[in-house]
Amino acid sequence: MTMATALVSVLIQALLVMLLVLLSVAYLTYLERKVAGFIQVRHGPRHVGWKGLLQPIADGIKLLLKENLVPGAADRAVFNLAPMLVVFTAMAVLAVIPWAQGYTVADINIGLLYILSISSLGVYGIVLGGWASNNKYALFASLRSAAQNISYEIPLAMALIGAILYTGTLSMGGIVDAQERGWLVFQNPLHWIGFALYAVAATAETNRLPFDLPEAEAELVAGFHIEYSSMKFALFFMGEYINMIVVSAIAAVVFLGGWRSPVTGGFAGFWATVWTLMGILLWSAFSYGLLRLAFWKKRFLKMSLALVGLGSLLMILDLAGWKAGGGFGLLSSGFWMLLKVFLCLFAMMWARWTYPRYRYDQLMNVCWRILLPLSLGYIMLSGCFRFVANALVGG
Amino acid sequence: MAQNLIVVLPELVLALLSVVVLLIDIFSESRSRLRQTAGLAMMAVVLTLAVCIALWGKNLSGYNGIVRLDSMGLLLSMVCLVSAGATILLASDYLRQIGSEKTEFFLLILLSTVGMMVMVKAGELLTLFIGLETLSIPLYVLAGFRRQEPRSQEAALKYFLMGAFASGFLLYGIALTYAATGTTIFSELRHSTSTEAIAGSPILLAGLGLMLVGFAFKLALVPFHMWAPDVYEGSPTPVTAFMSTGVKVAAFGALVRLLGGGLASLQEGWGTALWMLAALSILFGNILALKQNNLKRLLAYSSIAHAGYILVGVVAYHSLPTAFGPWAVSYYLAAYVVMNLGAFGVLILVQSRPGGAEKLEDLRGLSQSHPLVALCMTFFLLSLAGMPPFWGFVAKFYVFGAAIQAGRYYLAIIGVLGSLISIFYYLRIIVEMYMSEPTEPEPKLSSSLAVRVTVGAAALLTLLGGLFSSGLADAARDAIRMLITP
Amino acid sequence: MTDFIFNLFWSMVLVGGLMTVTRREPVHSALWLVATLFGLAVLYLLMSGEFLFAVQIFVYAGGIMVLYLFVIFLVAGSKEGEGRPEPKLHRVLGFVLVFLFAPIFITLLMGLKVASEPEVGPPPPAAAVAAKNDSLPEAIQLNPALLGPVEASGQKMNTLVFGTRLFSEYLFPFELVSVVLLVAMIGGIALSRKRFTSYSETEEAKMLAETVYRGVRIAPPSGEDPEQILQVFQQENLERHRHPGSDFKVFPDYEEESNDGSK
Repeated sequence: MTMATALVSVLIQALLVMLLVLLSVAYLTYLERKVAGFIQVRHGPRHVGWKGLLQPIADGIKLLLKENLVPGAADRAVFNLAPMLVVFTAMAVLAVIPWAQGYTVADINIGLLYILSISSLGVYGIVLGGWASNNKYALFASLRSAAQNISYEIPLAMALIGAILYTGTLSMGGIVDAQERGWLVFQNPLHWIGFALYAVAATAETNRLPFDLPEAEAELVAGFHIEYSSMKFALFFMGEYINMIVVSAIAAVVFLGGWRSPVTGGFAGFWATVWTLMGILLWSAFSYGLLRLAFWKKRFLKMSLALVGLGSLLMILDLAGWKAGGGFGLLSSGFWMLLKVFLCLFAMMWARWTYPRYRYDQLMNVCWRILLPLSLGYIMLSGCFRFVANALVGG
Repeated sequence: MAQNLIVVLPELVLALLSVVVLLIDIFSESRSRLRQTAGLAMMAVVLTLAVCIALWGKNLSGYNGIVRLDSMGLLLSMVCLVSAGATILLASDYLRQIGSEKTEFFLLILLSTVGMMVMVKAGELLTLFIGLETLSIPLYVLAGFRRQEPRSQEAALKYFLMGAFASGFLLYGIALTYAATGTTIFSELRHSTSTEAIAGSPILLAGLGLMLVGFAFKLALVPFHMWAPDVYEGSPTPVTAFMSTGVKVAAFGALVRLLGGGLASLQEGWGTALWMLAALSILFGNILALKQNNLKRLLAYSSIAHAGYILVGVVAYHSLPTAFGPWAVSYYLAAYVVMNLGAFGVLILVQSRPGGAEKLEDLRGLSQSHPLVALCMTFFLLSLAGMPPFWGFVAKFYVFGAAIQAGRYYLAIIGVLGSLISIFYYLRIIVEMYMSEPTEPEPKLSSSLAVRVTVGAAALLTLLGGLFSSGLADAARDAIRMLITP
Repeated sequence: MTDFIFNLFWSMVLVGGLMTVTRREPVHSALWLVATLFGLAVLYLLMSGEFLFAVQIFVYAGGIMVLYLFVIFLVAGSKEGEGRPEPKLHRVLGFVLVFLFAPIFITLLMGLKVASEPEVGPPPPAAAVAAKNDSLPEAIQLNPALLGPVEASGQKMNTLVFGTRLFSEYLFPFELVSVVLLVAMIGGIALSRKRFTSYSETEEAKMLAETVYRGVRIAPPSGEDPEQILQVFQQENLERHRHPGSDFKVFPDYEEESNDGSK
């Protein structure tokens, strides 16, 4: 393969991933509204298209046709730059995520660090957008956002460090490989702490409720994007949802075995068996809960049955040793990865429509007094376990 | 592993003890927290001194030569510790007087001392740099410790900006040196600069030059001295005492190690640059001091001049086993620290009386109200001027001797000339103290025992150091012999 | 290809640096500095220092510069715009940036991955590197010792080599950095802590009285007893006087909470 063909193929892959993600972003907004409706005992969008499925398209057209307003006193260059930055940084991160077995645009050897560093630039979009609007609410939002993102980046990175002490690599593909015998959260109950820390910090990093201080409709009206309209406003939204997808994907890859099924280890060896049993237990619990819900709310019945059936079938096939091989590998691995990402996204939406917003001082207290010490302890314990394990194995 | 730990033991002990002091301080409910923390900090310093003494005579290298434990490092570490201890003693009352009873003061002093000790033991450029930062950052804060005082804020800002520039120069120099030689470890630098091609490389010379500029800023050598008088004047007096002693010890220790240990083969290059700096510092420092009426500014210029004298010893460095220069440098540093701390101690004593300021007139008639304090001050000033039989005389004698031994007669001449000038302004203070009538009837000094004891001990040392100099000189000579053997 | 990227990013570093020092608006300067740092990071990447690349962006661009902006906002606040019409170019350029530059950037990464795979060919032999070094003007030649280890350590294991050396050979300076950080933290707290425990009551009263008067923007009348002002002041709501005419604070309710808990 020459350099040129390689580059062209990568370019196509990258564009494909971006298009798919943009499409899913559109439908995430639909999902968000449906989830909100479910939680608030109402229907959500249902007029445009079958069950309201064309609603995101309609929204998109509406936003495109709106007038593009720029405040007279705004710093125009920065004002225009800010939403682009949000989307750019969010999209650049998509490149290293393994969507299915062997389906990564670029599996670079510092994948996780790359994600952390590029997504840490995303805060510029919010900070600068708020500043450039030359609006006092927006400026407050910028200040809050800068402080919040800097603070929560630390527990976020620390939680991931504790995890990569176990996987021994920063490459996203390598991290999935390291969980061949069982997901990280199965391997050691310690990683539940890491997962919880990561979940909280990631929610804060994406500025989602209960950490959406930069937006804070109630006090700052709309926060940093108060002056934005039309497509620029939409770009902020897109950035937020892409970031949600990204942090969910990281959670899935690092803690939940990436594209691997819950029974990835099979019955090869004692611990792999234990972890497989845990996986079966987890899947059973999940299926039970889902079916309970489905029999209560009949409109979910078909969907839930299909999901549980497909998942169980894939798990049985996995246990039977049918893991490898072209089409099936893609189907199985893609199913699990997307299911995990979806569940993480669902959890974030669930939290958003359940919890009230933190106060600013509470926000800082949670980070510096609770998350930070916990994450330091997590790294230490994780390192100790690793050390003892190494000593026992003799490696 | 064990050897690595032994090499860095003093720093380790002091850093850990500082953290312990910090924790005790945070959770302390005591009413006299200031005094308690000062006491704990003092204990930390004394313990570390004990560790240094216990390690005396060892000659080890740790982490592949990144840190070196030898007699010169230990000697200068101890001098730094003495400076820190004296500062803590001088400060505890002073802080209450200026109404800024923050216990962080002592922690910053302790951690700054860790940086100094690392600098005098560093065998590698990056370690040296990080030591310098550990040393400097607390001092930036300490300089601005009198927050309500605009001069103190100005001092902090100036010191910070200048220090940041100096760090930048030094770091850039380090980068270029690394680019030219491929190493930052002194022993490897010595090896790699011994080849003609690398020693003559323009990148290396640029790196050396930038590093020297960085050091010159930190040491306040003319023409990089502009910040010193303002900073010395604005900072709280104990901090000024610490700045003018500890920083000089650390920076000179590192300079001797870098130039003597790592870049010895470039001696022609740095020798020329340094002798010019030394000559300028001696002449300008002393001449500018003549016109000062503020005692802190006067001592600032005097310390610029003294940095020049010490630099003479560095210039006189010869890579011969009998080298005299670095040894004279260490010796001078020890003497300078004691007498300078003493002088600042007297200043703090004088400032402690109600309305007491830092002008020359404030010392007027001190001999009548407080004859002992005036006597101590006389000791320090005469010693600083280099008069026999005080310690300062012996130190100067050795430094100029080293210059002559190295064949740099002109430097010795300039040094003596500078000392002659300096006698004038030192005597001016003595004249004020002894030959003028006090302005106010019997101003009372309200300082505690700690300050008095510190000043007294310094005065005693200044005298005894001069009278019994040979023993100390031998110790210092041993120290340097070990430095030379790589 | 690599040459093109190299040229692109070193010019970005240079232009960014120049713009940083020539912009009048501090926020713009900070942004150009971010561009410079980003360009530098990519240069590290081109020298197969992936780890440095990521850390440079994470720490400098993503952390320190955001704090810079934070401080600039706090100190300078927002400003009046110049009121120039919006250049169409910005919008066009922005969309180009998002929808073209992002894939290009990803491609760049992928290209590097391809380049580091063995099928492209083994890394140039030491002799060739040395020869190239020799062909440079003498003033900028590198020490031959520098050329060796990079190649020997292998491109893929940059992070591993970095970590191993940092935690073994350079352990001492590395740990020392933690002392620097501790010092900076203590110093920051010492400088910013407002309370002086030793202030006499009158002194404190004077300060507070001044605050009251500054809050309502009139000078304290001379000759009035500060103690009395303080008493009046204490009866009223402290917060309202500090922020007249505004119920909005950047950090609402933060001060009260923290003051209650600490000594």
